[in-house]
Amino acid sequence: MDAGRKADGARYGMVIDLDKCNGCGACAVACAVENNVPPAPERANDRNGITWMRVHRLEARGEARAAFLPLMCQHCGEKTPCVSVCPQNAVEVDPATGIVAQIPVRCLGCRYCMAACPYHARSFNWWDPDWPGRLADTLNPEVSTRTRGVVEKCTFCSHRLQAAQDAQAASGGGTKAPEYTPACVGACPAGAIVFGDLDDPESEVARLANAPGSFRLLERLGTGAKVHYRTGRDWVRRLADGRAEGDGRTHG
Amino acid sequence: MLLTRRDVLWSLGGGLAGAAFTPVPWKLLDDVAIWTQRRHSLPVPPRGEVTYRPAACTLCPAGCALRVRCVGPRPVAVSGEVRHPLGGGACALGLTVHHLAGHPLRLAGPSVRAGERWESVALEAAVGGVARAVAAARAAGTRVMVLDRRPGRVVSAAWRDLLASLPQGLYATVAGEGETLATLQGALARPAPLGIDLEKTRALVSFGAPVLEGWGRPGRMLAARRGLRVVQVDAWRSPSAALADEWVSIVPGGEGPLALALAHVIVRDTGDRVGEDVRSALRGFSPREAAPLAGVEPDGIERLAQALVRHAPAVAIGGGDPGAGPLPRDAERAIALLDLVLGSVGREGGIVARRPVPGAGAEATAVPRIALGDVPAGSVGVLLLDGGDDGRALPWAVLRPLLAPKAFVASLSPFDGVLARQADVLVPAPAPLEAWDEVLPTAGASVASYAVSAPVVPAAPGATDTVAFVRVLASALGVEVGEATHEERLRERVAAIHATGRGRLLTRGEGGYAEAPAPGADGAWEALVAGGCWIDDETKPEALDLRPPLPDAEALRKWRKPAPAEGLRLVAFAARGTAGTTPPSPLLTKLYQESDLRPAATTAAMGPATAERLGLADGQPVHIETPGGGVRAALRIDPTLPPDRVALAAGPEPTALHPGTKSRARGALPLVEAAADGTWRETRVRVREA
Repeated sequence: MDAGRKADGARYGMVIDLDKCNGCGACAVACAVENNVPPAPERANDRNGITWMRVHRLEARGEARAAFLPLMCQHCGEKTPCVSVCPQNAVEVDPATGIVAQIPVRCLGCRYCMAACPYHARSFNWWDPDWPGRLADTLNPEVSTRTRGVVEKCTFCSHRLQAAQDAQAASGGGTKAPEYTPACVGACPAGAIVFGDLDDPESEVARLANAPGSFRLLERLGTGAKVHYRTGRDWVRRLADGRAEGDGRTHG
Repeated sequence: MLLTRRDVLWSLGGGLAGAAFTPVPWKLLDDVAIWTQRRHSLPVPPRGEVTYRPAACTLCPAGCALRVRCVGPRPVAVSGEVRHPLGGGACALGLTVHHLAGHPLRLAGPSVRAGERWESVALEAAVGGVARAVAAARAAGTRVMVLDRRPGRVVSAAWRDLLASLPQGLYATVAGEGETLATLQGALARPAPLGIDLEKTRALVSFGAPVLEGWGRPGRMLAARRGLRVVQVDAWRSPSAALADEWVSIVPGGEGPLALALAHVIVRDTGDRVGEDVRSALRGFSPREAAPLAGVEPDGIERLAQALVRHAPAVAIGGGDPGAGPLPRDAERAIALLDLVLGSVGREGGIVARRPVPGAGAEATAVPRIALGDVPAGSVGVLLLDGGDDGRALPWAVLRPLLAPKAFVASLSPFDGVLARQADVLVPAPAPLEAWDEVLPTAGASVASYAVSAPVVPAAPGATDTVAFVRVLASALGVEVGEATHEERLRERVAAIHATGRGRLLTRGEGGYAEAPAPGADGAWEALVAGGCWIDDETKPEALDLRPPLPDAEALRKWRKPAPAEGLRLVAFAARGTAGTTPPSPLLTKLYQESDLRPAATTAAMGPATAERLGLADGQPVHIETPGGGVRAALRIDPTLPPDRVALAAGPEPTALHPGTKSRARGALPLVEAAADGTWRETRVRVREA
């Protein structure tokens, strides 16, 4: 089935306003807390650490203000590169929600998906996870921990969706896709991230995704990403889209 | 057919080669890889009933309201109260506050130094040691000093009650985010706390204060940002400089001369708003004269001053970065003078008076507060380091000169850290979320407010609440401080607030915060414990009677004729809440190590021209030295960093993120050279290949 087309549910997506993001990193940390992502061992770095959500700093010569780009799995809708290369069926697109799921127990650790992902939004567990001190006491029981040797990534906090679906069913159901909030969305103190059903024309996320000034990363690849970005600054859009003309630089 | 040995070998070899084209070896390899995974050691978090409890984050002065998600008795997640009336949300640090009770640097219980080792002792033994040291200090004629980094709490009042009974007691506090406002407060004819009417301010000039990354109440700043022009004056492109509308790059220590130069232009252009004393102080600080002192072109000074006048009401603030520490007092006076010259003091959209929070003895006590910079060198025989943390750096190099020979140091921090390592006795207080706490108005708050934070989890067995410690110590010393517990003192304070009849009480409900009808003192207490808050009535800004805050003649002379700048200058910095005595969660590696969103204390930055001159390359390990010490770091070339500056984070300490690390990277704090006024902004360093 075409992953971009929903069956009878929703097409969950996100709009991130880059002009509101101040690079505080609360989204990245809230994501790690919620999803039991372990702290890095001392030898880890920005290339081999595990960050489901990473905030990149964008700068351009002559621009007074920097910009920040939160980057996570873009939950591609069409031509999902990671799905097509996985030999283990460890990546699936849920046709009812559009969420690209990673199934660690099936993952064999070949990392083809990491090579295929144009957004570098996947992380490999190079080391056994370790929560020093008594930090393991604070783990979230809703999300299983992962072993060394598997790939992981953003799931749009799909365990929260399951809880919302259960609650909706328990209260008599309803045909509308349940509303829920991923951890990063709830944590953003600037209110820069809006989440919801992109196929619901009444939703704030659909309105913002279709409004002028919104764009998707590497749109020319036609991945049908369900994460949209917004900015009023042309240089930010060019740099975020990897089309800067030599005057920009990124950190992150 | 004869089967030779060669045929057997060929068959075996061919079979092996052929097997490589079957799934068998790869499956075996995969299985072996899986067997090496330590699945059995993966933690399986237990399930339980999910509850949400209110709390407040006390890792920095913002005091953000939190909602803690607990599964059974365990806190598993924290979220900021985004709808809080004083500005909501929480930062990355606050979202991991529930990790701190189990942080690897958490101290297990009271202990005393025995040579190079620590010995666990009973609380009574630890307190007995402090009591003997106090008696010895009394005999030697030295002072007993409490250092309180979060003044104004009921814990602060308990300390002052104790010190009032000791003839040689000193109650010291450190300069904080609101230092410019405190400077203006000291110049008022009728002292009152000051705040900023930020919602109506049109321009904010920050002299090194991290206004856009964490200052005052961040939620309030975010809300006010849309209509506010922010100019960041900084020696490096700090996060606030990167988010501001304009970054004015200055030389380290150029804050005072730049503030005076701006004031000079404004006085020159706007006429006779000031007296002769101010004019005299501004002489020698014309844009042309101040340009080399501040490191800003004369045109830039003229343009900035005119922009501030155009964008009135404009407010200038100092206070310093949490890692760079406070600005020198004279620089704060110069910034406060700029506010006065801008006409921003005592007007709508400017600096306004607010009423103090009632209760807790307020400031009326027998032991006045003394700034750390005013404590005479070598005068302190016993130093009691309160466990409250403002999240700002305080190098040991600042405290050490204050101590008398053979001085005794006791630390009440719940964590092992830079200052705790210097102590003779450790009596750990409860970790955040384990004890009662309170939230006071932040720097810049234009109205008073108050909230309490009830314990979310029980305190660890070895932790001693600070109020209880004060009572036990008073008992050991044979003095009287009252029998009220921490909770009882908080209740008394809430009753005192309620008795004033001022303000409104907001309770937290499902739909957000709502004003509660007058519920009585007990009802007010219950509402606050349930996550509510008290906010004072807003008052109309009134003109304030104050004398101009003028820098000392000696500082003016030094600024007018500076010593020639030579060598590399250290630019220390830190994000709010990460440079104090409370280590951040190891999960902050997501920001400091697994991305370079925030520079870690293991990385020193330098401009490309400076690195080239020193023959250093990006990523190279370097040794950074001062007479005070040396640290290792990896060099990062940062094109935004002006020449001859080395930027190095003062926190978090690498041991906070990786306890037990063997790395010799320690960040900026071991390097700093403290000035007599308790600042450490004039540190010169040498950098060489490691």
